[in-house]
Amino acid sequence: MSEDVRAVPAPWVLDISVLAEAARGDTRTMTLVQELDARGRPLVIPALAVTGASLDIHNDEADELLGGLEQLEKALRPFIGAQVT
Amino acid sequence: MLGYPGAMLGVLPAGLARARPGKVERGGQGPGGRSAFRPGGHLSHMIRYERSEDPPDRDDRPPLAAYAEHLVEAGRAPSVSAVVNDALTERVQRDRRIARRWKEITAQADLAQVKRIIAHVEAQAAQFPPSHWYR
Repeated sequence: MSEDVRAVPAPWVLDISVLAEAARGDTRTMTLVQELDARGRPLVIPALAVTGASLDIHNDEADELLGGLEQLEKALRPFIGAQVT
Repeated sequence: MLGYPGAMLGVLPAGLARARPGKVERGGQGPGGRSAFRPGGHLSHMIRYERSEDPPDRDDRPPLAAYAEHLVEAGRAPSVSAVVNDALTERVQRDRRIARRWKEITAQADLAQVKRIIAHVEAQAAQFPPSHWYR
């Protein structure tokens, strides 16, 4: 790696426990996620963790709150839209 | 061992899934006997595959255009454009409803506390050696 490229911290990875709290409508967790996105911090949101959180909470409100993750601008969503091989 | 993500749960997000007639079951029972398909829910686009050693075909696409044409032929929509417009309208309404809900919930937060959490975690991350950073 060349020295003139600025190193940045690793992205934040939202695991199933964080996503489950967001799906429950936890104010602090949702604000944390939103604030990180506003600051331009890269977020990794694994599709399987979203699926697990949805199955864990399992109501329409939770699914819609998880759907809000699609609107984050800096989020990386592994596997979503990927080709299955 | 199934060769695609989500195989253990038996479900895939629509972005991953490629529907294939005879191989795909919509509205099936998810783990624990719960339905994995609920119209209107965020995961309503989940598609459950029959357990099979065969991964979904990459080239098969959900027959959405054919379905839209079927709606027109059946007199349930005036045109394919109308079907697309209705779908987009529903999508926009859903996105706005979700954004409004997030805004309502996060408006109640103690932002100072959240900033302290972020500062605490980032202080920990800063202690990692440069080899743990990326460029």
